[in-house]
Amino acid sequence: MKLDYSVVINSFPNLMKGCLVTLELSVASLALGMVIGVVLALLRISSFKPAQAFSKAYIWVVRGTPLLVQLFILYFGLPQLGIELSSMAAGILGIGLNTAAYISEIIRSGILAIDPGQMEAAQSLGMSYPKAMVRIIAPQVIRVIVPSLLNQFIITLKNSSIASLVTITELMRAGNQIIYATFRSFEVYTVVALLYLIMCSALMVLSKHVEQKMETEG
Amino acid sequence: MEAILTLDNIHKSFGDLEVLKGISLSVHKGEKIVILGPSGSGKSTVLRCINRLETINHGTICFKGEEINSHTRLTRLRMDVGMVFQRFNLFPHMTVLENIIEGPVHVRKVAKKEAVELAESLLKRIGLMDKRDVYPKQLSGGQQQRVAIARSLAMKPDILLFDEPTSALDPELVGEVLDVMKDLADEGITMVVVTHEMQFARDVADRVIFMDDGMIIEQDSPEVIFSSPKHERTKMFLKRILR
Repeated sequence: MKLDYSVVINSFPNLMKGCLVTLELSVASLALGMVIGVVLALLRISSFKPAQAFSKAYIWVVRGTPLLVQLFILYFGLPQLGIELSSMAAGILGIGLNTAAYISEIIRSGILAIDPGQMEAAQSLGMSYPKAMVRIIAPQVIRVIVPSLLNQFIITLKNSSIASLVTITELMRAGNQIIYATFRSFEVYTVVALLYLIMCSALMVLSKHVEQKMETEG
Repeated sequence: MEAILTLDNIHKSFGDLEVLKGISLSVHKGEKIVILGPSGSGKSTVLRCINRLETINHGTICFKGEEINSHTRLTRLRMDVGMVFQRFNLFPHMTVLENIIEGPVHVRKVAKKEAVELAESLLKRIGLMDKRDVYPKQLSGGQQQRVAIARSLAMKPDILLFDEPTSALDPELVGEVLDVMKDLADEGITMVVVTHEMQFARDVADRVIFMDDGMIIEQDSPEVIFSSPKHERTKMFLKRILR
């Protein structure tokens, strides 16, 4: 059988729209994941035991269950309890809550990587704990975790393809729809893969750039 | 002379291990105290208990006539008691100047211009004005420690605590740090120094305290401690160190 990429060219606008939705979904999920991730990390390192326990339990559940199941619970499960989410809302919430667990672990390990002497030096100047966290610890943590954080962004962007199964017409589902009409699976999926590769590569280039910048600046 | 800082019967344990077994000590204004003792004797812990980098299990600390029993008073004590660490602990994401003005500007709320002027005068004094805008990792250990001393001085502290300030330095860099410390001592700044530098203790100390096993074994002028120590443990320690 001959390959025919003309179908892809004809439906390219739909794939582009899909890319846009993928980006929207990823950016919104990552924003949510960052906010919740920071909170979870701070709870985890706090000295308040119930807060630690909550954060631990959250991460345990999220890491121990598949993203697909989490999304299905939000989109197909919650309506049974009277909570109806739009597919996009369920997608952002699901991927965001999922990413938050991983981001919080990255942030926590970043904080633990900072020499305890830094907090001691800040406190011995009379700085309060929150102020020392913001002025002394956070800037150093950010430098340490940016590479792992960008890596997590790449993972989240790829994971967003799972949201096609809760009827969000992002790139993957846009591709599927073209296939249903044309039966050109190979052509469409290879182009879909290429489009993911392009988006992820942008993040990879950024990651390399940041790493090099940090190496020269120390 | 009036005591500016008083420790009364301080006890501190790490788990089952009691590292301070009732330390009582008064520091007078302008006094230079050097604490000596074998490693593990608790001398660093005494310093760290003063500004509560370690919690204490028992005992009281009074600073400028006030017992440190509240968060507000602890913050005031930390602002007024400078600490110089063995590993410098400069802030790596800030330049030398930024390190020095951090406390004055963000804790004491001094105007930035004023803080910069003070920082520059301190940098001149420690001979590192040309390093004003570089980052700590571009400095040698000795230079870093001098900056750390300047960072403490910028808070205009009543007392400076030195926790083995030369122990992490290459031998050839020890001298420059000790010179800065001697300079400060000549100026009359109150200092409590934990160190293994015996010559510094002899030259600078008004009082030498010998600690072992979480207790103050004896304290006296350096002349007495180094020439005729009373306790067997002090004698043994000095014999080992001064060999």
